[in-house]
Amino acid sequence: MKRILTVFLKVVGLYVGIFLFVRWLVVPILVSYIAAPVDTNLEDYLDRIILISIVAFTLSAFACAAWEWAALSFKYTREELLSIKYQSWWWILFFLCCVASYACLVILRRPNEGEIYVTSFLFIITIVPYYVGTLLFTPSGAKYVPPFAKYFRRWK
Amino acid sequence: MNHYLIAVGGTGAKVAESVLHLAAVGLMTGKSLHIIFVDQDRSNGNLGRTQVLLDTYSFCKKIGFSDSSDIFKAEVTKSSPPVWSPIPDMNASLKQVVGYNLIPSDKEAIRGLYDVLFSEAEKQTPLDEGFRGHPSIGAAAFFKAVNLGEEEPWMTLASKVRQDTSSGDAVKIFVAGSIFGGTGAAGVPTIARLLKDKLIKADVKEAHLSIGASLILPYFNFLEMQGQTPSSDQNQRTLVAKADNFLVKTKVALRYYEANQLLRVFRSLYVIGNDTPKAVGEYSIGSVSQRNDAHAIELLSALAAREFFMNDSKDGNVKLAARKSASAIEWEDFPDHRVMKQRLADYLRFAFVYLAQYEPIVQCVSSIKACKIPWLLDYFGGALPEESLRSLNKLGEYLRSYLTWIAEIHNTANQEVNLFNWKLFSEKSENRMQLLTDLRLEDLSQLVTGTDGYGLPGAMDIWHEVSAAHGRGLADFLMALYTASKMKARER
Repeated sequence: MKRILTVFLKVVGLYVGIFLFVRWLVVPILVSYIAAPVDTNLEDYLDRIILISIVAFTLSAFACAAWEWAALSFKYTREELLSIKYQSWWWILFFLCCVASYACLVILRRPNEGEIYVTSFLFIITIVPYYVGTLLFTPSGAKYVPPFAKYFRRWK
Repeated sequence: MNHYLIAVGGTGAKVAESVLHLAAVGLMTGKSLHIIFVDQDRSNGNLGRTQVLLDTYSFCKKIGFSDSSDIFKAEVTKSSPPVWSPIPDMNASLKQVVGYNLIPSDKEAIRGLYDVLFSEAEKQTPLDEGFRGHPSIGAAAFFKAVNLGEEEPWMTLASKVRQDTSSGDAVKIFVAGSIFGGTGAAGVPTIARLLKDKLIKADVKEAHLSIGASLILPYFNFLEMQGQTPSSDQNQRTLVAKADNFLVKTKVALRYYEANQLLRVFRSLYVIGNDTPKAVGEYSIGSVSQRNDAHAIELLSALAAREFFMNDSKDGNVKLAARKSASAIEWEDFPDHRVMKQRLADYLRFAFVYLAQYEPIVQCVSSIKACKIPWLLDYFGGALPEESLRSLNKLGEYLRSYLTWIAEIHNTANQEVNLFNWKLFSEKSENRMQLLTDLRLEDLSQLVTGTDGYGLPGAMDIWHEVSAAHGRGLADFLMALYTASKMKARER
């Protein structure tokens, strides 16, 4: 029970952190560079960005969890290791994160100006958590599968 | 403290095999163990198998497992020459050994005594394949031919013992052999007595010297050779051991030892047997074909050696170990069974998981991307060095012999042996135990019987734990694998 509560509080804390990060750091930056679509005022558009970024982050977290689950389900036999299964799982989930990022942009609607900033932000809020999450928290048995992990996880 | 094991005859060699396995699993933790094999039949299959095992053990020992672990801890060495035969001339017959034809004519009575004691076949039979279950031949040959003081490996043994005792160390010598065959029955008390005399003459203080022995009573029998009529030029080779005579011979040998106080030389004596010997197939005179499967009695005898080496025996103590059930052999039937179970089981799990999962990967490691094998990057920097590969091949060989030994122990006694689920890694084929080529990782948790109170990590848990552990090199990797494979006693 205590464990479940701890995990729940961590997840809530993470989301509060993401909200504060977007609301107080990202949005003030975006305000200077973007113009909302013609039929939307900027304030509403920024609220949508906050909401969509939380959805994008959630999708990324799901992808991350799916990878962890997969890494724990692998049997690590010779046959499995010889196949492309491990890395393909990681890349498939990475690709899904990219798709999710693009889908978020479509749902959000492209801004009149500063599309590159919004696109980059959505990309970062989806892909980076997936990459950093899998880089740091992949179970030890598959810890070097995320690209460049061997430069980060070999701290001994 | 240095320990010495003298393995007499085929059974002695089989006991030495079990001792080696106990040393590998960490049940023999002395500094060093020096083994001398005594057998007239140098090509004896049992002896050959144990010698190969000893070489493999020594190779694996060089991997250098950490001092914090007991596996492969004892330095086991063999004598030079590795096998000592009481009669160096392999083709000699008893007649030649005792100089029957050289007995002067005025001492006809001595010749007559030989004629009364030994049949013509016994006198004529070449001794190249041992004493063929005839202790009377062995006793005469030992008595006439043995001169421990002036030949190897006894000279080296004496000098080592002198060296040990001069530094104040106590020395323990354990002699193992059967008393229902030829070499063991004749050799065990004779060698012990001659050796003690020799060592005391060499200024070794008796108080520093402790000699123990296991006398193994009949625990197997065999079928008579079927359909094999000896050729005329091999008539003299028809002298064979007969299983029907085992009990009688044992009784006579024990009575003889008692009458002549031959057993007083031993500080500790372990008398081990089985009430219902099991047939082990057809009789073999000796040589390479004399190759029998391992038996629980040999394991017990090896445990006796362990008990002797590890503990200080007190005069007058009598310990009794016996089976709880007449029809089965269980963990509880063995002395110090908790420690024994933990060590044998941990090592079995390690062997199983290595052979089922890691060895196949090692064999094709260059075809797999290193990033998929974390331990390859962490412990070996991404590629297995040639030397590590050779060591792993040798370790695989050793682990296979360990699994085979375990499987054989479950199949040679008349009783049901309930220690491990041997069918998960071996099968009986043409009356021999064969290891399965396809070991299933899912079976890992089923290997050991009676595991209530233990946590049993699965293969995936072990993989993750090995990948998370820190270390560098082959020894660290294998230690991490061994530690991760262990059964974990649950806290109550």
